[in-house]
Amino acid sequence: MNNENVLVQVQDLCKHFKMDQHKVLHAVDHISFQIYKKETLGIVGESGCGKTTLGRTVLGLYPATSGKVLFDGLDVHNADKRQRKEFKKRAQIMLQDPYASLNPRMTVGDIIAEGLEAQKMVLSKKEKDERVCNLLDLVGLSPEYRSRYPHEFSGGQRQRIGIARTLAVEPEFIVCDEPISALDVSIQAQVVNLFDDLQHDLGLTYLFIAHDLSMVRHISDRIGVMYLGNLVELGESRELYEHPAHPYTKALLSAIPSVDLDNPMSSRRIRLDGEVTSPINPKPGCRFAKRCKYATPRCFEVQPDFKEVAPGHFAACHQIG
Amino acid sequence: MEKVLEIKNLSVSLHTYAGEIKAIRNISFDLFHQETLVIVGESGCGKSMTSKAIIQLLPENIAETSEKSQIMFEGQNLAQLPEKTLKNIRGEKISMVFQDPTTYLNPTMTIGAQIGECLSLHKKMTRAEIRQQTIEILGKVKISNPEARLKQYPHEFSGGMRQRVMIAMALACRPKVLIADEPTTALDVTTQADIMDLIKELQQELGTAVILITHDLGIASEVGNRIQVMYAGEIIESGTKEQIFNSPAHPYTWALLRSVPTVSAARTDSSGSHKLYSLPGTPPDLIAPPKACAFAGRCEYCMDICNRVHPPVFEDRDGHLVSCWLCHPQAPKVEIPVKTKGDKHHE
Amino acid sequence: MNQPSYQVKSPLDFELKTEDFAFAGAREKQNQILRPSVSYWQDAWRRLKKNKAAILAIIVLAVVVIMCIIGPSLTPYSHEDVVMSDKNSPPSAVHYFGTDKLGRDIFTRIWVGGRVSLTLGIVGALIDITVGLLYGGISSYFGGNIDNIMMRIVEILASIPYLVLVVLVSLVVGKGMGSLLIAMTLTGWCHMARLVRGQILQIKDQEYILAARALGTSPWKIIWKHLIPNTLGVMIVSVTFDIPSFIFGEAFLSFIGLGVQAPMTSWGALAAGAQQEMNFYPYQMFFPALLISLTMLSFQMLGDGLRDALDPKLRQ
Repeated sequence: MNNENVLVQVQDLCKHFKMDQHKVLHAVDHISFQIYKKETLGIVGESGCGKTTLGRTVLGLYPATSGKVLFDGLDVHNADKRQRKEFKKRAQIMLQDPYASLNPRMTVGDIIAEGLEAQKMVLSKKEKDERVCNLLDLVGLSPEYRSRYPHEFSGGQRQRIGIARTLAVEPEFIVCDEPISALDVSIQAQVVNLFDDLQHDLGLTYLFIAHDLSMVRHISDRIGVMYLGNLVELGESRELYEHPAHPYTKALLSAIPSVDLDNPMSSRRIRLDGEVTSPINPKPGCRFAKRCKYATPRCFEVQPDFKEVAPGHFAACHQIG
Repeated sequence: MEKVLEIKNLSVSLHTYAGEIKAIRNISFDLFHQETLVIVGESGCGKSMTSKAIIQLLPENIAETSEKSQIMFEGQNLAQLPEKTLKNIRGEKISMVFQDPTTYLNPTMTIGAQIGECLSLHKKMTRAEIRQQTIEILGKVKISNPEARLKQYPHEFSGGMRQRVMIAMALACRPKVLIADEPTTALDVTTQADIMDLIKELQQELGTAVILITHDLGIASEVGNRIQVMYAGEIIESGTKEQIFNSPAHPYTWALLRSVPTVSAARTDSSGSHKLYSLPGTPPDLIAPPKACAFAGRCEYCMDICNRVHPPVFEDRDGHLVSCWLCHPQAPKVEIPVKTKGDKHHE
Repeated sequence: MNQPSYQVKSPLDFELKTEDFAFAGAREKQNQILRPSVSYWQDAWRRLKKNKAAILAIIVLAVVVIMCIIGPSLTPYSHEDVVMSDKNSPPSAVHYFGTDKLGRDIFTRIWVGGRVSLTLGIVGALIDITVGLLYGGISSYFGGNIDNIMMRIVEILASIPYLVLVVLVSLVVGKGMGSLLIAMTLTGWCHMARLVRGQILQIKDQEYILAARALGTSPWKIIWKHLIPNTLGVMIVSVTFDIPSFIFGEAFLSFIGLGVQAPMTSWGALAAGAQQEMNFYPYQMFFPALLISLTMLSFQMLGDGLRDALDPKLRQ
């Protein structure tokens, strides 16, 4: 793919949180990647690896400590007020918790119309009502539901309402922050299919954050693996799952429980020993070194750079290449 | 095999402002010595409620267990025992591990004190014995350096470690039955695998029967001996792991198996179509549960009778139980839409 | 795939025909919501209605308020009429609650005094909540140093002893209803501000606020549409609990002579006046004391009921 197709360019992005005078949490540390137009980039990693922070920093909801996010050429973190408002229309977030992400005191119609009003996209009440009905229809809910309150809906339906709210401002790029992890298996499939359909019909680009590795593989074109604030591997999803290069990715993939009785996870699992390194004031070197069985003294001293293991497939490990 | 727990006609209703929710509707099952019984189902299907009903820890003022319900354990019906007797059974003979270890550990007590408390409540032991036993059990759940860890507080442990402590507490008195309610849902995949391994290992060692509640079919297949699928407050299918995964018989089980994306099926598959199978609709509202089959409204194979008569329980020669009219000899034969035995689940 | 043969566990008591097994297709009716739509307030009202104590409290309060409005006109007397010939007479058909030492009709005076007590209670609580909501809302929403400075100011204000303040205000402004109101609200809003701040800090991190920010909603709109409606339940409860403390504060201050001055009266002033004669004419003390207690109790019970009804944790 050439540069014209890049929608989001993340350059050496860092997000550190100051815990107190001497403690700094390195939630996102020197991450660079690109998201191409109309693709889905999946980000996987365990809880606390910084994937949620990454998503929110890319959207400018958290100020960046250093580094840049370029959205269609616009520097997100240094934009003026007007550009920022315009950016908020083009880039949106889809949140994880279908219960906490909808204001319990607002009707579904008001919730969906919030973006329309904030971006001054509709003028009359009638127009607003029409848009809300169309949006509800788009996400597979009956327009009659617009006067109901969120607590009357099931998790999957609430997530559809959330999708409708996100789509109201007609974004091009959506950061999906674990949008399905709170849902049941059969409902997850409904929502994932909806994401898929919307991408086709509206030409959307997704940054899809999740910890469910099988679902991510299903929806993503490319996948990035995060470990304690670092991006350790990035590649086409098929390539990454079939030929993982980084020892952490291998361990992660081997721990997925399988419904295939002939090939249970327990038989092929790579166990991880050792304690998880703290992301607070991290020491130099590879963050995975303490749990890695291939670690050499060099791994504890120098942080590995991204190396291309196969075309378009990168991994950050000293043992490669 | 020896039955440890026998549940017959268990029904539980919840009285809420919206009306009476029939959370569990007349279910019966047995738990055998040293086996792992997995109850799978989606949220609201009554799987958690079942586990709480067994040890009678239902929300007191709103839950009502029907009079017919029998929960037989060591010759006693737990549904009718007074609270005082139940207290002695809970923790000592039947214990529980919950989803979120953080809320079940007291933040102001050391780990050692909390595990010791279970022991001192149920067993007559001296302080030195309790300490000895606590160290031993912490070692068993693979917490390194147990002597030092004993004096630490819950916040000094990671999520996975806390769940290990919970398991240590649950197993301290060597219970006959361990009920684990989504013990790994809050944990990461790698930690989840560790905890599942631990439960399996300890079960072998202590001879405990385990009821594992989960929504994850992958976990069910990894650890279960027998699997029971619940839908809308009922058990719709139950059988051995092989029966459920290799020859599932209920359309809901098919749907569940079909909606699991397998790691081997990526969207870049050459086959073109990469749609996930998805089950339409949502489960019925249990305030007014359907009189006939609860799944009929979402079922692709719904027959005329399904909408009128509640399906009876059908059983095959090997004890595979299914509650679906498709199993009736007069019903049309249907090809199972799930490809089993190592096949990929997608077209 | 050949299906294993299944047997019915317990035999059926009816015959089945082949037509019964015709495919009917999925109905998918269950996607609809069966339960009726109820808004937050409808739901809260439904729950409040089930609370007998709260309903009783509402009735009592309604009666008290109505009597305060129409009570004085039910008697031929004005609350200021002094009839020395008819002093200290016990309750009778002529004077329902009797007369005081100046021969004034207590029934009339009770309801006129009630107007003062209730107005003070309600207006005072409303001032508290308005100031508290604004102050606490701004402080918590903007956070950081603004929050720090604003909360330190609240702490300083709240540490000034209440009585000292009342005495000072009555020296400057003079005694009466206005000065009472000023004195009691001058620092009274501080606890409200703290309460609001606590609430908003909790709600601020909710995901729907984040979603609103991502959509580009302005801060004022977020405060107005998200934060305030979600704190309203707690606010209403604290207002109901605030009113009796105002009523009691007024009674107490009037009792020690810092409150409403004659010939105007209030429940506290009535009780104070009756206190000297209590051994001889206990009924003079009884009625104002009864109304103070009854009103305070009712507001407390109503507050309790509202708290249960508005608590989102109790929603099912």
